[in-house]
Amino acid sequence: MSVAISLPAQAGYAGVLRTTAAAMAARCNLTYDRLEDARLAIDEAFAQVVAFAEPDATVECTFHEAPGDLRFVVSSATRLLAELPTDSFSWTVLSALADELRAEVELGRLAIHVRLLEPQDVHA
Amino acid sequence: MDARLREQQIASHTGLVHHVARRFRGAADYEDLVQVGMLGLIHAVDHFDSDQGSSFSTYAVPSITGAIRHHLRDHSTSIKVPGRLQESAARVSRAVDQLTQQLGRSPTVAEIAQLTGTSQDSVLEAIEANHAHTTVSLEDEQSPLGSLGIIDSELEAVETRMAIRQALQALAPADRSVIEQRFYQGRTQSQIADDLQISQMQVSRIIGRTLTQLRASLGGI
Repeated sequence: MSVAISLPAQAGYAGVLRTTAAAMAARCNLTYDRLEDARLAIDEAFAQVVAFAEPDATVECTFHEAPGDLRFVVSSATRLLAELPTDSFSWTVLSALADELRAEVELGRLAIHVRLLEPQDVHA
Repeated sequence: MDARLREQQIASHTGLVHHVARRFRGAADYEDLVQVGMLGLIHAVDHFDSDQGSSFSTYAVPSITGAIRHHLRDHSTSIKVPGRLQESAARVSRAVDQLTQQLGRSPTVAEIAQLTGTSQDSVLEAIEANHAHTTVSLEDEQSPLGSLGIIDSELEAVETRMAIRQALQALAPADRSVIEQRFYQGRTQSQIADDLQISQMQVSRIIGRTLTQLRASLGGI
């Protein structure tokens, strides 16, 4: 199942995504460790997208839910002309949190794809 | 520096103070933030060395941000969490640690709900309450470095790494250690909690708070 949210590209809205990420992590039956990772990862991904967003842009965030597998994509119109810098602290944090991580700049949009998997054998 | 020049220098950069103060609006009285930020600006004016090559703004923004953050730390008015929620947050926190011990792994929200005899939604509510007083501030529209065009000037990779190292060095040693363990050594929150003999919720609060701090001091870097 998927859940999509649109919100202003303003850092103050990060809380909405953190709360949603936690709820989605619970739906995926992720452990508390991973749930906290998901909250941090969405925060960091959102902050990156906002930092490079066009003025007055809208951020789109889509969560994809599967057992032990949470994916989300955060994107907005961007003023980046080339790739997102990956030597940033933000990217280091995201890399440590995510099992899969990818940023793409295409047709004037920056999209950050994040995937968190539950490595532990959790019986639902 | 002669006094008149100093006055001028301060007066012509008050906009910078307002700019930074706006990012923390909501965390404290705006006028207070501006006043404290002015102290940071004055400090920057008095210590800026133009021979270092960087622009005054680049030098002043961290100084202003630092002064404001220092003020907020000393006068932190945390969000009031209702007593009922505080209790259930404490119960959930204990349950997380107990289950981690029992299961030898981090528990799921369903497992926490079962042990505490509540719904999964209540557990999620408790987790949010646990973070409430760490996410109080930093309602910014844009990072100050970004809107000053500093990100656009494409810092060299070396400078970026230096900025990151400096920002990490500026953290309290305990906070820095947690950040390094989690993000550079790949340890989980529950492992760190076990080592430090504190609850995992405390670890997650430290990480959340410290990342917010770092993000503010690093701008978009």
